[in-house]
Amino acid sequence: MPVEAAAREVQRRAPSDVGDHVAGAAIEVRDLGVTYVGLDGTHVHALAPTSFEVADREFVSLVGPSGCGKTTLLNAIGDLLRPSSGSVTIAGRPARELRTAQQIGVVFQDSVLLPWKSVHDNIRFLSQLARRPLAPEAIEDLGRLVGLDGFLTKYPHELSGGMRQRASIARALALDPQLLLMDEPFGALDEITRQKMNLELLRVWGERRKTVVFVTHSLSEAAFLSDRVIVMGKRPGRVVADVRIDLPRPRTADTRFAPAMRDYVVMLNQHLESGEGGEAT
Amino acid sequence: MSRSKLRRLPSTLVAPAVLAAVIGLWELVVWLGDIKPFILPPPSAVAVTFVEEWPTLMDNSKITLLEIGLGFGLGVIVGLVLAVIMALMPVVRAALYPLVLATQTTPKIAIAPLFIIWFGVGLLPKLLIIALLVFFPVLINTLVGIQSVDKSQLALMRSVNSSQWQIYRHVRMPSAVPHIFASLKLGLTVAIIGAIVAEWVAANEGLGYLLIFYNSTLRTTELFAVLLMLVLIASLAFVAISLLERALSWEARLGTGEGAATVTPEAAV
Repeated sequence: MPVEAAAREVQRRAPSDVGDHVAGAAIEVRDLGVTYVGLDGTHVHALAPTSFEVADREFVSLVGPSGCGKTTLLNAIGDLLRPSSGSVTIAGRPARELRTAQQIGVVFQDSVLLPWKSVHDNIRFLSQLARRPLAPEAIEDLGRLVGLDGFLTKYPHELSGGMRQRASIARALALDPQLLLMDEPFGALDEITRQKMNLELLRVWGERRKTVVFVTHSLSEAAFLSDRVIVMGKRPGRVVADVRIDLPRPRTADTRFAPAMRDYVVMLNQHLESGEGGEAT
Repeated sequence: MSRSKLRRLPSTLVAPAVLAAVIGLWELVVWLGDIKPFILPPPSAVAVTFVEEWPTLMDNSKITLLEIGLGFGLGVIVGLVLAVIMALMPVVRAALYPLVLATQTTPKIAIAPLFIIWFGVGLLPKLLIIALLVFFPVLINTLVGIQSVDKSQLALMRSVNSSQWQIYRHVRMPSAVPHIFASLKLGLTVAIIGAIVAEWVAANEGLGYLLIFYNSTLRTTELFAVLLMLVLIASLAFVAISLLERALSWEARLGTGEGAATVTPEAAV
């Protein structure tokens, strides 16, 4: 089958040498589980114990249906929520250390720009909090990098959704983090803008190479952007497949229509459906 | 044609034009209907009386303005401080909330005579009544503002390990500012009501006292002059708060006001 020919699946617990060289921001997720206790005392397994690894400067996407725990997993990786079990190690240290060292950049679905600050001040904001404020030239560089030159004096409400996300990405890069976590950053954008932003993100990532964990529910977006796509299922949230995307870089608008690309999307879809089938019907 | 003319009228002139039309109509109705001045005086007579009575109006306005200024200031300070404390400490919030609600479910006009017994007929009981009216909308709206902060903004702050102080300074307080200004405008209107009501209960000076005095002597034209003075005071105070808002509130400055959801107090009296 062409699907299998095109894809080379990576075993979830592939033997790896990540633990040996801890340079860069390789991520090691070990038996990570998140359980919420409801007000009535019932336990909700948002994420069943999960293990996988992300190599330094790798672009990994988490895809899955709503409620499969992909945002929960992302937040646990960034130490934005405390897991019930297991651990996250980044560059050989607990995730918490990386967060407190302000080495994790986060981009949310909503841009989460502060409406009372200009784009310039929003980009500078986190560096100000971290007491290592960016020089004006550095902010202009970031603005240029994400395609916001000429918009730095504007306020968030004067920008389109796509432009706001550009600012949000620039802000996440401002502290030059080792790890970039992106939670459906283009989920609220129209298809045309989203495709444009995908290309822009790859261009930016090419220039400022980071380890990226990217949450989306679009299979084509995941395949287009990523080195690897982790497919998740729900009830409980868990990993059902881990697929390496062997498409050459740099990827362009044409990559979207390459036959191999279509095969990957078909295969991801099969994994997604098998994950759905996991629950009793 | 008249439609297009109306459209060409600058929007800033619409309100004055309507006001002028209403006053003209009022004047016309009084003259045509031959209505007695003690029932409804014509606006022209009110204007003349307003000028003639200016010294009396000014003397009494000073008293009332002092009450409003001090009572409003006290109410705002108490409201803001309590809001921050209640936002920071859930225990305090749980303890004080029923008490705060109790102060608001009691009709203030019923408390006013009690305050006179406790604090005499001077300035103190009046500013306390005003403060009691003002602190509630300020407290509730500020609390709502502090707590209405976007969850993602808190996650953003956590992602760079911000301190609680930084979260208040950079996210929670700015989020609350539009709510605070909405509550100041509300507080202003109840402050004026409070001052008038307090003077009705026990006073021998002030605009509220003048209203009662002119009413009991059927000097309706003078009564209208006092009402005009109250409208002027309220308008000026409102303009002052709006100017302050323009200077201090990002929402007013940027014109992005979706109108902060405001908690209105129960009918003040």
